[in-house]
Amino acid sequence: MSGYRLKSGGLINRKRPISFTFNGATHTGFEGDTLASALIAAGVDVVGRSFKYHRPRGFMAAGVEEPNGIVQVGADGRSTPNLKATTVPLYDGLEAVSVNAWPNVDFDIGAVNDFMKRFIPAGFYYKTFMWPRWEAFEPVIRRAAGLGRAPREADDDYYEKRHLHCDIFIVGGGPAGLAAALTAAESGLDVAIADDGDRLGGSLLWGKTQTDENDARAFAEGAAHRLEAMENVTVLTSASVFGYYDHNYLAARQLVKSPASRSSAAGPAERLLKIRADKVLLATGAIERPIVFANNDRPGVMLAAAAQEYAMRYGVAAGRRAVLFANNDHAYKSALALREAGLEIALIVDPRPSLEGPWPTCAQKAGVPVQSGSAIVDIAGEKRVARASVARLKGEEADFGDLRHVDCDLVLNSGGWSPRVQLFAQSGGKLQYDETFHAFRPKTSVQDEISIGGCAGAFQVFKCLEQGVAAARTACEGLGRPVAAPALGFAPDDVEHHAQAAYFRAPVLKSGRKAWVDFQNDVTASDVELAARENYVSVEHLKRYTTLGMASDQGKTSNLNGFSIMARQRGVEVRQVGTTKFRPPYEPVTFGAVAGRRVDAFYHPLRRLPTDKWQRENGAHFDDWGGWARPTCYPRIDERHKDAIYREVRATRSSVGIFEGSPLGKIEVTGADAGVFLDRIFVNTASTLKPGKARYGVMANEHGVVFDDGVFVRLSEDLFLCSTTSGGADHMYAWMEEWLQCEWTDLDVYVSNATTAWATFAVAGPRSRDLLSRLCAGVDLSRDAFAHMSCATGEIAGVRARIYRVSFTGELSYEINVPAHYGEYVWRTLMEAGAEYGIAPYGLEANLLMRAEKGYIHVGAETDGITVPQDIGYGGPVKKKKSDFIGRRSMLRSDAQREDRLHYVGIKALDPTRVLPTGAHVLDAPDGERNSGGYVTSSYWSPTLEHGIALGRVREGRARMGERVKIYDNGEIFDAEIVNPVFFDPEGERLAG
Amino acid sequence: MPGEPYLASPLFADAPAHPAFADGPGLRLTERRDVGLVLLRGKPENAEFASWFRALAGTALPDERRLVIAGGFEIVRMGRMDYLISGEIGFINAFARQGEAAAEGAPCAVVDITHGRIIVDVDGAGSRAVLSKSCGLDMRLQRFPVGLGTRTRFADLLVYIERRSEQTFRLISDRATGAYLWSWLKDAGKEFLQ
Repeated sequence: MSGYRLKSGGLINRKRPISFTFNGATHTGFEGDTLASALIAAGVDVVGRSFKYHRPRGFMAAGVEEPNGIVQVGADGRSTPNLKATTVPLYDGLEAVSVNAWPNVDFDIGAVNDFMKRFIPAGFYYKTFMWPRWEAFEPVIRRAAGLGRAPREADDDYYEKRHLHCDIFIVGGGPAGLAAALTAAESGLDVAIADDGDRLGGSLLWGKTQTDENDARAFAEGAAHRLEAMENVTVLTSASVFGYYDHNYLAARQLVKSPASRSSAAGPAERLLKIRADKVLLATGAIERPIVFANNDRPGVMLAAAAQEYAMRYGVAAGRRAVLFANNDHAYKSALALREAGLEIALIVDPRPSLEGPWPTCAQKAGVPVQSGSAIVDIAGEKRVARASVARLKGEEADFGDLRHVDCDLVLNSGGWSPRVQLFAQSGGKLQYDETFHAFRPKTSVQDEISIGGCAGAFQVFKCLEQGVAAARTACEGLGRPVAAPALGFAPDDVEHHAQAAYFRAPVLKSGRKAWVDFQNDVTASDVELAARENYVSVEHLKRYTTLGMASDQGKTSNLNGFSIMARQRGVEVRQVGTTKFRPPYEPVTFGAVAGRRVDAFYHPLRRLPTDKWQRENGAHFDDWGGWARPTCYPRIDERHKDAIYREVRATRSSVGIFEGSPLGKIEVTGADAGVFLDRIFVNTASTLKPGKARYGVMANEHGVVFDDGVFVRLSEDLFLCSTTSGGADHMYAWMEEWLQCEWTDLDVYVSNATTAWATFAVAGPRSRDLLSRLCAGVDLSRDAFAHMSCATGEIAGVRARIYRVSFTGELSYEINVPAHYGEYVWRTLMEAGAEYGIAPYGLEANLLMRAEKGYIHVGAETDGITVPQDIGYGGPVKKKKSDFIGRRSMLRSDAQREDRLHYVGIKALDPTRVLPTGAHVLDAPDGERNSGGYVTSSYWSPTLEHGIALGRVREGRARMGERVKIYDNGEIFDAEIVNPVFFDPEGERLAG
Repeated sequence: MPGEPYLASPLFADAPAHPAFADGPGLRLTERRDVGLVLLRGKPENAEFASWFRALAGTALPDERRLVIAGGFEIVRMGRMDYLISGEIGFINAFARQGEAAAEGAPCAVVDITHGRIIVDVDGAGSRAVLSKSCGLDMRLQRFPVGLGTRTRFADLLVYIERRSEQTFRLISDRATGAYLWSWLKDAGKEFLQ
């Protein structure tokens, strides 16, 4: 136990203690703590186990770059895996556990892997588990892999998404971002600024300026207050911008509600923000890099700036006696700040051979010993650092004869700073390697974006401020706004920094000691070297072979070190190695945030019928039919669906049934050229249809393939109403519009999709005329006056209506169309008036069954992507029609006219009790082998005929009527006969009744 | 018999005689069943169509996507050859019947879409926030001024949005998805309705 709470300092509220549990033990922190700072203060050293070798790990960083402190937070449905403890705000009752450790983090059985690590290097899985087959090992490996556990319970919280538009979007609330935001906001721009911290300020909240850290904090707090008070500024805290896409479109995940509330009533848990900005300023800062040295993953090895942040921001000492290993001056500032906070700095180890400049001098003046030209070559200690071994460097090697052992419980290290270029790279920007600070920085922007501050390579506060103001000025000028220069009240930090060494990796004291590159994925320096030896030299191959830079960490602290080792192995410069492709998300995003409110009832916008309320009140069983909630059947209490369907069929065939068909497509075609237009759209002719009459039509595409069908009626000379299949209305409307707008612009035609403006009911059965005659006015429904395929306008129950005598069931049938808002009223009226006839509502299944009895095709069932009209018995119009129409040329090709195509036929099992399986194949064996000669497209038990019926498409089917065939399905053979598809009322007497 | 013909709400409100309504400190959602809609289709460059409309409505066709108030109705140009006419439902019904008759032989189409749509007014301080949860349009006043209307994707639906004041928007969507839209708006706006 080395960490402890400092007596003063930090931005925590010491009057507000917070109790939480970690791995079952209760601890106390303060308001303002993160889980990480509270655990360090509580003296917890081991917070997790590494992914592969299960080595004990402590905190290495203080922010999103933390690779070790991965925890699962919360319980039940609110449990969230793979959170970084460094980014989890502390709250009362927080429950957190380590991941990847069993039975517990202090004693982990998996740690046996650490003793075998020389046998399980990178690529081990790929090479070893090939024999006898990968699948034999996969279950075990999958169980061992992964961090955390996805909750099985439903999440009680809700999540939402929000679009945000602004003139200028600033990513990062540090010095550069704040200066830019103030300048742009005071110039009148719409400004949005996002920071992943719970308050604006970034490094100003813990950094030490030349004068006093209070200057920095005061500036940050003042700037935040000014911005929050301005109406043209949107401040987004706890918002992690994780994606930068085309057209200045960015995505952020914001934590909204305090998890302490444990109630969805307190608001959304998280919000996914979709941001579009005219200008984007990336002020994402920089991440301190570790140095690769032996046993550098031991708990107690920490980035220098992280230790400073814990001390300054949270009032927590990460240890008592520290050694600093650094190749740059910035880390000296951290060491001095920590010393001022009360930590002992036992030694500063610097690989640079000579130390010039003010910061090493400051350290020496403060009495901190500094050893130049040296490196840490080993760390002693298992679950906490106990000692650092230091050796003088001789070129790239070390003089191990001159070892210096320093007892310590904290090893700070800093290999320099890497600009956070991930979002810039995601935007498409080009990177360049900077030889002064030995990292990649933005070079060329592709989008309307400017990188400023640390992410542009400016590591001093005043330079960040200058860049922020300058970028905001550029943005204002670009948007034509006058620039207001805000008073920043900040003095230049004029202390020069000495050149940073290009130092990534230290020599290893003993052979076999591992030096870690990627802490989260257990990738060592020797793994990278192995990849190079095995020719995985591309950085993308290196990543996949070793897992360097994968998982939630995404290589934030490891990539550059890995690339530098690869560069050395290849004998090239780091810039020549390049970087892997940076892809979103920069930070993990919860599934909840991605789903937003699109769950449960909002998962998919289901369309409702005009009579939906009645249907629900009267026991309809609903299913999703092409995006519509439609009654499949109307089962009575304890009635099976199948029995309900048969009952509905019998009721309709014996008296009268009513069907809710409102989703049926209804497209109005008007204009002087409406007939000509429809002649080109339909396979058959429309222009010869007389007003007051209806005709069945088939529509095909340019390839001659049937894609929709329906009845069209002519209400007046210039007005046609075209029905389409229920799921085809939108497509058919768009199809007609496209031909009109792009091809036949000379036609005087207007099409309108009126599908949902009209409620449509089919009233079918021998008593349907009796029922409608009582309710309709203005229409003579008698057999002779209103024959099959007639249409008229009139009234039903006092509501204006369009009435067609058409049938999909083979019965005497009428289609009633009334304005949709009156639909429920008319339906209730029909039900009440039909009670004396025993009227029965029938669902889609009964409707489809009756049309199959009658042998009517159902487009999509009896047709597929190669069906031409000739296949379904519609070859006559194709041959006879004089004028051109869509698909005609294709239908006249020899292939479309082949006699051996699959023809639409009926199929009847010889055993009348059998129902052939839909999809079963008609065996065709001219060469002695089982070939498919067609298949069953629809199959039912017919309650009317009391035997099985089937429809299908069979090779040369029309010429094979009466032929006996074998039907095959999943190893079962059925004897059947090819028959006329019209099973019910083949003479059409009922239809014409 | 269920009595006199009544208009059933596509939102399936419990009391079909009254439009759906939700109100809170920052938001008010109102179903506008009292408003009728007519879709007028014609090519504005066709002088015959323009004069036909002037004769019918006593006003000229609007050129821009801005709401124009003319007599007892409002008209907005929704697309190249689409105009949306709205007003009190009785007036619009009569207008539609008159227009349908007059359109016989004229180079245009008049379609009464009152029954094919639902209309919801979204009003209040939280209106913009609710809309920003549902569609990607830039709703800032200077980019989406009062009177502007446009068709867009809203909560995965095709919705026509019109700004009627700084804090008032009219949403017109397909009737069949009306219940979904209404539930969505109430859910998205619950922070302003509570």
